[in-house]
Amino acid sequence: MPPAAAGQAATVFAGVYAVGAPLLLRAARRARPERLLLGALSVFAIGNAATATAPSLIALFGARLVAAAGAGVFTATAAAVAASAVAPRRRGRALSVVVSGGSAAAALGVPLGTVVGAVFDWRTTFYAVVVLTLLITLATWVDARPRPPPADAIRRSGAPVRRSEVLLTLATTMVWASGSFTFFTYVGVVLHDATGVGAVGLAAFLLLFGLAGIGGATVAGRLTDARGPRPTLVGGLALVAVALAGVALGTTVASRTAAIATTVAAIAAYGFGTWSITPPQQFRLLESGGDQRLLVSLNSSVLYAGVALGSGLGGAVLASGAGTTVVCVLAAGLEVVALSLVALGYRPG
Amino acid sequence: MKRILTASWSTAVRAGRISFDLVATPQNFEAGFVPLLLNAHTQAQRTERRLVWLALGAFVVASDGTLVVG
Repeated sequence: MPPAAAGQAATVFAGVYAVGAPLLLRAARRARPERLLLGALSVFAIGNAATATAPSLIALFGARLVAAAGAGVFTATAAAVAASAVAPRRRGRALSVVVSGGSAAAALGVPLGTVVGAVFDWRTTFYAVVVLTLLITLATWVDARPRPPPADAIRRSGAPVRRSEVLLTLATTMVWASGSFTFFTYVGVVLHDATGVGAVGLAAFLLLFGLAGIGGATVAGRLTDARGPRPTLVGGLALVAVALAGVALGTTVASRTAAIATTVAAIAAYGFGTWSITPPQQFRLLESGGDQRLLVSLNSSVLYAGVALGSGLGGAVLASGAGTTVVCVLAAGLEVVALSLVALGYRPG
Repeated sequence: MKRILTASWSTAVRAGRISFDLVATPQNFEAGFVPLLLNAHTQAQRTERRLVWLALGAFVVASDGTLVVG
């Protein structure tokens, strides 16, 4: 697949995921969660099978569109199902288990897919995704016997929505993602500038990022249950801001050894911090009342908007010749703005 | 071939159990990872098993196509 086509296919996936998923979830708001999960996984498998066998570029784009629709609906429904499967005091941990699946993908899934694609071809990667998805669909179907949720589980669909809390939460996600992706979209350029690493070194940094992310999601879930979502977010966003400042420092250090040591610590902190944001954010939205699946999917939508905004900002900075240090400082500044949004209206206690 | 497959399966199960134990409550996993997935007896075990499938679903979905944090 030509690189430009791969990039366009990724854009189609992201666009449908962000815009299409909330619309689909709104249309399917009366569907039972188990059926929605099975439907989403089936559509995702069909989309990937169609990708693997696509005879033309147009067919490939169509297939990615189908896969993205399934992925978007699955992600939002999975979070709502996980949260409603447990008692409220364990909701943060349940959300973090699902989110850690995403961080494990960063550490293992994406590199594994790349290796499979390199050893065989790109179609084999998508066939492998189909097989895995079918196995998970089968397990979900076997496990989907209707059972009553815990007595005190969330049952707020139809409850009045706390609009200001929802808007503040979504704004926080967007600013956090903007800051994060002002840096992360250009991670290869920044890390090369800071440490001189090539493709192998970058892969090692990304593995560290993903592994730290599993830890971050896990700890965030437990902290959300123990202390509440806002203190968890304050800690997570502060860590991301400090980590991005650390990467900026790494780009200015003259000694290569010191630069590598600084960058390793900063990337570990960045992975831990940035993957600790989603569980408490989803928790806040689920607590806000209204359609849980729709709110979680809107969170993903604004996240993608933040990704686009951050990528644009980072690109503009680099194009202006300001350099990678400025990219990291700008990213850290946006995380401070996100932190102040969390602090708005927060009454500790 | 059979021996290789058996060894691979055992290694995968061990790796899966270690990874999942990082995010799981220990008391729910005394019986082990495989029995939990294949034969969960209590409501708590069935809930944990459900979370595992959801996490694996999130893993596959996030591995496919564009990787976005969160």
